[in-house]
Amino acid sequence: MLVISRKIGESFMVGDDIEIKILKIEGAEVKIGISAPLYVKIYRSEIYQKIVQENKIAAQTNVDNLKGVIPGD
Amino acid sequence: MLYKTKFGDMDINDDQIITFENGIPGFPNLRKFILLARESDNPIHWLVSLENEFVAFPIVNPWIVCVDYSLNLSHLDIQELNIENQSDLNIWAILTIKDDPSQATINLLAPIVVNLKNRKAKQIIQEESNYSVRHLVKDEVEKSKKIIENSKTGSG
Repeated sequence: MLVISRKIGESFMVGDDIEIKILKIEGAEVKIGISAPLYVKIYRSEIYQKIVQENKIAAQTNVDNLKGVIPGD
Repeated sequence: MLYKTKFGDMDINDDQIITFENGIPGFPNLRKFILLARESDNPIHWLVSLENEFVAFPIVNPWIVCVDYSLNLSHLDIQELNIENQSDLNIWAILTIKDDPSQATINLLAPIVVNLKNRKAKQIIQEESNYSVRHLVKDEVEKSKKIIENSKTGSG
């Protein structure tokens, strides 16, 4: 992993069209501004990872085990 | 063309294939899927991979489980799927079903959106919503019943 130090108000580029700027540091929290083209999707990693995990479990569902999944069905 | 799937060998025409151009989170290399409806599983359907015979997602129309479900498509989603008409859309939520079916959960945070017109699909992430990847199906069904009952008494 590349590690770079930045001060508040400083930024760095990822490729030619993504700029990441340090806006504010408060205790253990950092506010970061990201300027990127619309087609670049930005997610908090933990949300994305949760979806990955859930998809991996769901993909392995036993195909003969659906009785009673939707109550009143 | 013949494909090996979780449901055995399936003869699939190209026009039945749904394409996830960027894959699905956790399965970035899987792009070709079909929707499978088995009468015995209704209302649950299956999103079946044509490229990995071990992958099939049980899916359901989220409004069957959660009557007041809300979905917000971003401009990016609309662009990516070339959505022209809302009526072309097919929305699904993935179910997670382990040993005890009464503990099944539904992923309301990241629904599957299919544009039936061009058969492009995407799992979208509703990051600004309060939904999570794991809502207990029976709780959501219970809540939905109450909402329906209240709306009946409310309308007189």
